[in-house]
Amino acid sequence: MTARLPHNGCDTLMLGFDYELRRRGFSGNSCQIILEFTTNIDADRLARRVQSLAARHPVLAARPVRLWKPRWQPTGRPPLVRIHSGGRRPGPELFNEPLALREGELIRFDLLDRALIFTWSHVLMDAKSAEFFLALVGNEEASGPEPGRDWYDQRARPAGNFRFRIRRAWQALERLDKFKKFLPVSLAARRPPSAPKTLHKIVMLSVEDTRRVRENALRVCGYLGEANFHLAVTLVELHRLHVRTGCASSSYVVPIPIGLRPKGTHSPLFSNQITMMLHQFLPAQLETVREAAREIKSQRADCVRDGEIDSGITLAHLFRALPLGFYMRLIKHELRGEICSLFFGDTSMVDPALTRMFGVEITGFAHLPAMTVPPGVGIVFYHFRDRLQFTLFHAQGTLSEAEVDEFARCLQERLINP
Amino acid sequence: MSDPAHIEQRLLAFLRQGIFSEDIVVTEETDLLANGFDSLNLVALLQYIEKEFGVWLPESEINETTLKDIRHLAALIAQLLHDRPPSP
Repeated sequence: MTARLPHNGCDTLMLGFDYELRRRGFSGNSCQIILEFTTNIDADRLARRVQSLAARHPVLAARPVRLWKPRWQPTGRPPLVRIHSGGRRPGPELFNEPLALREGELIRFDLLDRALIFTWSHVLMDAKSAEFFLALVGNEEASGPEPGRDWYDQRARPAGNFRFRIRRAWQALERLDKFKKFLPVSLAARRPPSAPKTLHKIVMLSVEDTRRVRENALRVCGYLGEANFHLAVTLVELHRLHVRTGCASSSYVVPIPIGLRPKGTHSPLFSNQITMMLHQFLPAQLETVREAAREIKSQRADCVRDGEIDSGITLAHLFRALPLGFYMRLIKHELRGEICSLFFGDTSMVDPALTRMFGVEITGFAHLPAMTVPPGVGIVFYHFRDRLQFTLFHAQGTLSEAEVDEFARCLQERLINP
Repeated sequence: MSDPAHIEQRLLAFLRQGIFSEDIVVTEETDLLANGFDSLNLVALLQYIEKEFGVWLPESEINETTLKDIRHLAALIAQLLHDRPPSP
């Protein structure tokens, strides 16, 4: 069984981030999805369904084993389904409660009053997989794909022989080398966290404002350019935030997640099929949203043309058997201790199958991601029920509550009036 | 070169090999967007079209209709090739 559950380069990158967060006292590279319902869902049905899926897919309760053959080692420990009574609402204490990754705790469910919090280790799967998995949990009639070899495939690993992969991995280091001329300084480097906690702010736009943002995206970034538009707006506002808080930076380095999963399939489900393509932006390129968008487009096109998309993941893949501390030091070496300036994500439309859970309508949805420190700040965009939402997240102390509110307000205004 | 059927076959081969999963059958009429075709796939496709057919699709021509399926896309490429002034 264990030979069938290997790690790929993306999993290694996520393990590296988990290591980095835990080292600093944070709860690790765990993310959450919060679902809100019209009425309470049946706790027994949820528990039974989770047990059944865990029995079918042993990787849901497995611990990461590294050294010579990095892989998942199933533990058989059943995932936790906890029921909270007394009208408890989702909050930072539940997010900052770590998963026992080393003991094989990769997922957890917390059932609250008309809400469900699904916590998952990003080492196990990416956000799109998590959405699909939740839809699978909430529909007892859905059998899901067969837990055959394909489910645990390392597909994100690039093809090619060892020499080709070395060359590809080297591209990632060369790219970082180019960034050295204008070294970025993240917010957390200047303002270290006061406590190892991640805080989140969820912003929801109205249907009308969402429509206006879509029109702006089409006008500025062209067809299918919505995520680029969100990124361009975020970059302009990030630069302004840095200036406002007295943390001006020579550049901003942002990893842009790129889905590597082939289109038209959800498999391999329990696997990270994303890569992070680092882009660098100079303050002069972030004066307006149009300039930022032009720069994003140009850098993206260059990355595709030069075949650099999966270079970072190839590097991670080559380092997957080495100690995580060594791997993270390598990652941070080129940018003098920085990883990036901000974590950015755009998961687009929430999985269309995720509208009901055990027959109960889902009325609210939110992504609560994790980020490393530095940079100590991140944002993820997503659409649920025709409304654009974004979650701002930061390490406690890196930004004040007023600064987060101001950042959120400026983002919202600029999305509507770029 | 500007035969739409020929262009369709070349585009299909590219999409089957580099973009879509082997789990789904991609034909000339497969709805690309409904099957997850995204902005990065579009960049890769545009670069492929430029390399293979020597035309760059103008941004104004990229929309829901042209990206609906291979048939519509191939028709646009054929039109652009047809309208292209002959090289001196």
